[in-house]
Amino acid sequence: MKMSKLIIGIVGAGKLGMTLAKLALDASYQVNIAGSKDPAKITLATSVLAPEAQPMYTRDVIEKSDIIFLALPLSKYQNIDAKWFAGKTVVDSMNYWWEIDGKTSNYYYDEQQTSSEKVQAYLTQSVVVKAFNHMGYHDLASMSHQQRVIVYAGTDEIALAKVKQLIIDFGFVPYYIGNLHATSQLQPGGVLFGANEDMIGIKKLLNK
Amino acid sequence: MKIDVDKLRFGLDTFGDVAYNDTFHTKMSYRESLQNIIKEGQLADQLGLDVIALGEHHREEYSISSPEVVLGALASTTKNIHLSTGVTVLSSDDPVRLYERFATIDGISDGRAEIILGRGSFTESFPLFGYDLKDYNDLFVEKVGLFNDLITGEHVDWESKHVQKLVNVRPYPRIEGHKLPVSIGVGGTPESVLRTAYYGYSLMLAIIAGEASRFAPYIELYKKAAEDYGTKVGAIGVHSHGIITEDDDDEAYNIGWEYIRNSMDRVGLDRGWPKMTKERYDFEVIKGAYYVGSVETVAKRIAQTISELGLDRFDLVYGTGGQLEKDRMRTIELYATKVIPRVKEILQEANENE
Ligand SMILES: NC(=O)c1ccc[n+]([C@@H]2O[C@H](COP(=O)([O-])OP(=O)(O)OC[C@H]3O[C@@H](n4cnc5c(N)ncnc54)[C@H](OP(=O)(O)O)[C@@H]3O)[C@@H](O)[C@H]2O)c1
Repeated sequence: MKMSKLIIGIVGAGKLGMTLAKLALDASYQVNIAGSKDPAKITLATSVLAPEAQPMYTRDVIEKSDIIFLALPLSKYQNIDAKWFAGKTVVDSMNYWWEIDGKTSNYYYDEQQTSSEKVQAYLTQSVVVKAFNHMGYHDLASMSHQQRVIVYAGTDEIALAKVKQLIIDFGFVPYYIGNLHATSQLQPGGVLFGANEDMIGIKKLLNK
Repeated sequence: MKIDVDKLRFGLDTFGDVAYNDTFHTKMSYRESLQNIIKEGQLADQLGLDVIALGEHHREEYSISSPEVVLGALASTTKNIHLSTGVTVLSSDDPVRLYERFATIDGISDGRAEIILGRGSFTESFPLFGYDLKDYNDLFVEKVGLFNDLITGEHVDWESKHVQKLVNVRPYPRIEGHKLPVSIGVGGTPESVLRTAYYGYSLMLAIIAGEASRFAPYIELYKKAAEDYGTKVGAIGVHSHGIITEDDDDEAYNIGWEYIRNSMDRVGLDRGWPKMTKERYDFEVIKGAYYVGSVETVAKRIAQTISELGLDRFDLVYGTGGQLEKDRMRTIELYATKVIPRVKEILQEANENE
């Protein structure tokens, strides 16, 4: 049964990465996962927190999966060769967090470009969809199947349809907000950053 | 889970939130706040609490940036209570000085010093002491290695990228008669759990949001890692915020809605988070990370957390967001004299019914 589904790749094996891996496994997806180093470094943690997820090197995760989640610090994704992602659908779940990424937010996003637009600009041969960034990992971990909304954004119809299905399969309610420029609402200081809401709550935050 | 009630330890924690004056509802001066925390620590000792843990913060709303100095004051004016930091931001500290400071507290207090290492909630200490946040992880890895050598060895040699080179060093005074009890404060990073197990340290879970049960996989990971590394599983504890009233749930609820919320919103502002919603607060009070309510309510919730996770230790963070001095004192008093005995009673009953 698992074979018919997309294979999920997760780059980043920390709080968010492990949580996404667990959600995907619970929805019976096949999952590949990587930290920044040797996969052996994460086998123990994976075996407990996301059993059945396959620890691999980052490059292998990208190559062997259909849809790749970026679940690493925003200041780190450019350490990965953009070419490795060619042809893949990429889900950007990253946020600017000054305590991790440094004090200069302008480097990561500004009035003209959201951080996701910058990710898309870096990954020239891939399609980027933003999703799973606005909720704390502990809420993601414990609130699936509780009518919580995950807001997603992007422009490629096929990629959007895939991500929408993942949101549903992971036990959340999808809400489409627009293109990657619209993700300014999902960034720190934006009304949806940190939002853990049902559909009514999300619409209220957006004044809709 | 069956709990060995007699071995349970209960702690009282604070970041040093500056309290509000009972009469005028104005914020205390730092001087008043520090003297107050000493009084609170002394009360905790008199009431028989097992340990007090003081955080290290360098922000306007807190008066404790040098927890060891405050612990030193407590060391000479308390008898039994163990004196801990919670947490010491190891990455921006000097392991040798840390050893010396803790050896000093341990000496003055006749062996009551303990330490919780970690990242803490904030990172303001990094620029303050000339460290680059980017090196956070490497700094921690190197310094915990050196610190461990210092507390386990006699003479220490050390060489690594971010830390001073040491040759045959033996810091003084010595920690005598026992090994300094070390915990690592963990917020949810799997790597920290593994590190705790690797060194055979105790695990202190900082649960500041969400249901306690979500931490069960981390405990499993800790135990499994200890088995893999061949280290001993240390004590497993939880640290969470709380406010206790005698029998009025609403009163405690309202204090929390004013002060805990305020404290969280302040942090949120820095990080671009939204303000806390009533729904979120209610969730945390009813089944999440806030132990807020009457003696009976809080006792039941603590007992549930202890038995769900199989804990050896529970630490209540008091005075979050400042609060009136009388409300802080009341929380400490009720926690020690009524909540803890009731928690033990509930757990004992559960044991007997198993
Ligand atoms: N925590 C949350 O609640 C939350 C919620 C939503 C979104 N986010 C976002 O998710 C991202 C990850 O956050 P987190 O809290 O999960 O951080 P975390 O716990 O620190 O984990 C970060 C992970 O990224 C890995 N990593 C770093 N550089 C890498 C590289 N070049 N290639 C592959 N993996 C690399 C790290 O591996 P090593 O340990 O090997 O370095 C680590 O496993 C951030 O952008 C954050 O803003 C977090």
